[in-house]
Amino acid sequence: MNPDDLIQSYVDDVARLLPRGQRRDVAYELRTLLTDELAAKAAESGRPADEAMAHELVLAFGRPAEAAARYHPALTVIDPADSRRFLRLTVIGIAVIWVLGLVDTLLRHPIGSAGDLLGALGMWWTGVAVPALWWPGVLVVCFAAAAWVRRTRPERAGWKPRREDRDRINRFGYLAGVAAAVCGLFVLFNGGLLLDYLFDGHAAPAAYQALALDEDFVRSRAPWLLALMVLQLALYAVLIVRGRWQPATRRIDIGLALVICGVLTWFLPAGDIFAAEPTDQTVKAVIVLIVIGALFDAGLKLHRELRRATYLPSM
Amino acid sequence: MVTGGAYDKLELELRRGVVVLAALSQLHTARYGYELRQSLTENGMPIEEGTLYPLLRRLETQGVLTSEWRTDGGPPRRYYVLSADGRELYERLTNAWHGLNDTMDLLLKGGERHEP
Repeated sequence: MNPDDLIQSYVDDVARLLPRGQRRDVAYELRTLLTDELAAKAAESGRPADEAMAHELVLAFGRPAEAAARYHPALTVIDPADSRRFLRLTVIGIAVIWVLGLVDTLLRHPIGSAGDLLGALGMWWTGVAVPALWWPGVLVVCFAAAAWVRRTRPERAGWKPRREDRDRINRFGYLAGVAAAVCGLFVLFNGGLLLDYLFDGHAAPAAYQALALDEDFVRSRAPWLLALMVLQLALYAVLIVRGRWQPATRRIDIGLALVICGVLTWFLPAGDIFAAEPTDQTVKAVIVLIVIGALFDAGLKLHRELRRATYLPSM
Repeated sequence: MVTGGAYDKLELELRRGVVVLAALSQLHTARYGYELRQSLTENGMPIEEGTLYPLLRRLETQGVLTSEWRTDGGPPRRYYVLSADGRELYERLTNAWHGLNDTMDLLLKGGERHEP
């Protein structure tokens, strides 16, 4: 290729990426400058300019996109300071969506053969894995909006000390939580009494059947749930008395949450919880959501706890 | 032992900080891009073409430089020169550079005294 044609081709690629208003002018100047540079290189090397020489010159100038970007004021979509956080949230979010989507796909399409597995994976890929890219898109918009606000209103972007004491608890809130948990347990084990109260003892028999617990569950598994709930309520009672979280109560809370998640997960395949099939299926779906939420919460608390523990000199 | 790669990167950072001032120092008289680069190189401050040419355009957009096309017997070339604001900016940057230079001299002499 003729060296002048090569330079022209490079300038064309740069020009396409320049603002329309300055495109022709900058492109003309760039071509003149690169021609000057090439002539100087040729004179320095003592031989006529050739394609290799021109190629080396434009390579040193940078990719057309890089060269064009240098003519613009710097544009930052996501602040470099936020890049690691953006990457971490992207990876964690995609992983969560993929894993939940995979579990959902496998539950909806039981695997009986290798073909079933490939089919389910195909459905997961097209139905979950690729569409999950909405998540990084949402993050880009959020981070870009935050960066824009910081640039336009720098006075509001400065760091401010956190006034609230994060370990302090709202005693009334926790008391209300304990009362709600006790009521929930009472309703779980005495659904019939709730119906009598609400309908003056005239509820339909089907309603009583819908809220009846499975006898085997009441005999063998419910005591475990009750014992754990009593422990959880005891922990909340301690918190209400002390008025704040402390290292020991934080760790007990995380441990207890993990044990409760384990027991609830064990309930799913261990047998019926409610005697009526529709109620049982609904409650088990709710348990799955509770376990996911509780594990996420416990994971965050564990992360914070480990981070506290790392504020130590590394000797 | 600090690697050569680290030295190159840090040295580039140092040079980047003075590229604008170096370019402005040569633009009291009008010059076109290649001529300016040659002038800087001859004075011991080589600046990559990919850095210098876009920089001239950006400085012009900011009002630091003015420019015009000229054809002095050859192909048309865009000549850049300091604007009134650019001359004022150049004075201020020069003063800042001298202050920084004095400070660095002091710091580096202090560093030499503390060497084991």
